[in-house]
Amino acid sequence: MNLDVDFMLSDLPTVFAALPSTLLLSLDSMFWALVFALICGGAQLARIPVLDKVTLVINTFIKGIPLVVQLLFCYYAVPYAVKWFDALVGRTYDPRHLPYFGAAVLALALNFGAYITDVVISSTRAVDRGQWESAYACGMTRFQALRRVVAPQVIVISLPNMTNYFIWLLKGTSLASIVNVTEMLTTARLSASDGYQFLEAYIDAAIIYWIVCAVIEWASGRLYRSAGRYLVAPNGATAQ
Amino acid sequence: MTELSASAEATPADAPVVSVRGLKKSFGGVEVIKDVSFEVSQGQVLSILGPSGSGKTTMLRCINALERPDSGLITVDGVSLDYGKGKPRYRDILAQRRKTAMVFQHYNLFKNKTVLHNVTEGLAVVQRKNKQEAEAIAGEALEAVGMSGLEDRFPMHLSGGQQQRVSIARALALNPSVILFDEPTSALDPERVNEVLRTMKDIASRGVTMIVVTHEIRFARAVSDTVIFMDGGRIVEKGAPDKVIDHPQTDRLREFLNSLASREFE
Ligand SMILES: Nc1ncnc2c1ncn2[C@@H]1O[C@H](COP(=O)(O)OP(=O)(O)O)[C@@H](O)[C@H]1O
Ligand SMILES: [Mg+2]
Repeated sequence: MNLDVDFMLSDLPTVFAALPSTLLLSLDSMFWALVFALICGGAQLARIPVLDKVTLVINTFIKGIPLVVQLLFCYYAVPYAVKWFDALVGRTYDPRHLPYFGAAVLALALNFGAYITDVVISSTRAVDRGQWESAYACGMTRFQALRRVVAPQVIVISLPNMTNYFIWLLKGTSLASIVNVTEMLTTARLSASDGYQFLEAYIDAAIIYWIVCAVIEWASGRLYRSAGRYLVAPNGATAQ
Repeated sequence: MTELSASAEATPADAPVVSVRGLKKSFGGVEVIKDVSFEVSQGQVLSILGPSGSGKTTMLRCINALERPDSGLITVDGVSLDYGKGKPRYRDILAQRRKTAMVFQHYNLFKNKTVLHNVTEGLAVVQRKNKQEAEAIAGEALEAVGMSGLEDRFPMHLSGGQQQRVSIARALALNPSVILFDEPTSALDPERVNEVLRTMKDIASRGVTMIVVTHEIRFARAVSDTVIFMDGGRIVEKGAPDKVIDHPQTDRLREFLNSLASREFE
């Protein structure tokens, strides 16, 4: 069997054209994952009664189930949810308009949100208590201390881990192809199905994933070095 | 907020800036502050001496409510918190805290902010001063501690002595009624101690009210109006520095002063 290099090259733009939908799905999911993680992490850090335990249990539950299972669960649950919602607002249920994109976002956001919760918690705890105390001693409220002093440091500390999870999530969106969401991998599969040149199309997809992830990692590294320049002593040693 | 009304015998002019009455604090059932009372008047410097674990830090942290006393009445420049009546309201705690500023043993500068922004932060966020105003005040404060010209450095790029002087500028800029110092030179390299002590002496000569926990006996003698010796959570001796430091009345204080003196020959 020979690799059809011509097809590989000619198919590259087709696969590449689906990159925006992969990025959209990734960013959308990452946004909600962060929201979820901030709620869970915040509840646990602030020891909000009941909510801290509830989020802890939910997170172990989410982490204990494979992403594929969560995607499939959301996929099959969507029609029921929509049917129920349509009945609630008095709309006619139309199976042609099921929000599968939303189902994929939900599954990805919960799954990654559970992991990112740990990043939020560990990064916040990594900020020295003295930073809170000197903010309080200056007369700041808890919220002012968080917003002006602690959170900016938490963001810098968490950036490398967040980037890793985002890259992982971006690749995780390829699983959304099993729930009817047309992203890059689905596009590659469809473009190859005429001539059965699946390997070529998948190589195209792999190359694009790789380049995108490399660019993200590079940009994040640059951002970390500039936003975290206060961590670097003149002799080049990094604190923390 | 309870405004202390000036009583008949105490006119506002000689009313204490800081007044601590019957302060008690325990951690996990162990009482570390046992009924401590004292006062500090406007422009005075109070030094607190005492062995490690005697409760000096805890007492200082009670004065700006970083620690919540079990009981006692603490008044700072007219703002009173009576801990005997249960948990004070958060806004009262904030009001009292904003009358104070603190210089920590480990400086605790905001790591991610430059020297200038360490000083302007409280002015902008807490006192709601605009940028020009805050920077003008910060410039003066940094000048006063001899840190002009290093405004754009991050704390990590400064020596310990420089960081501590910035933290003094940060406290000074807030124009508090009292500045609390918790062993400000204990974490410094020996050759950095004097620059910080000199800065503190300058600040004291400006008429700033200060409470200083320190092991620097010569500084305490030269700069303080009153010295307190604490041991086991109580005030054991209290008085003018020449009385307390040069003529200790108790064996405990004599032992403590001897141990500090012998430290230098080890
Ligand atoms: N947050 C805390 N939790 C439990 N014990 C504490 C805490 N802070 C201080 N202590 C205890 O209180 C006592 C007095 O401590 P501290 O005020 O730091 O003394 P000093 O500053 O005079 O060395 C010590 O025995 C210390 O172990
Ligand atoms: Mg101490």
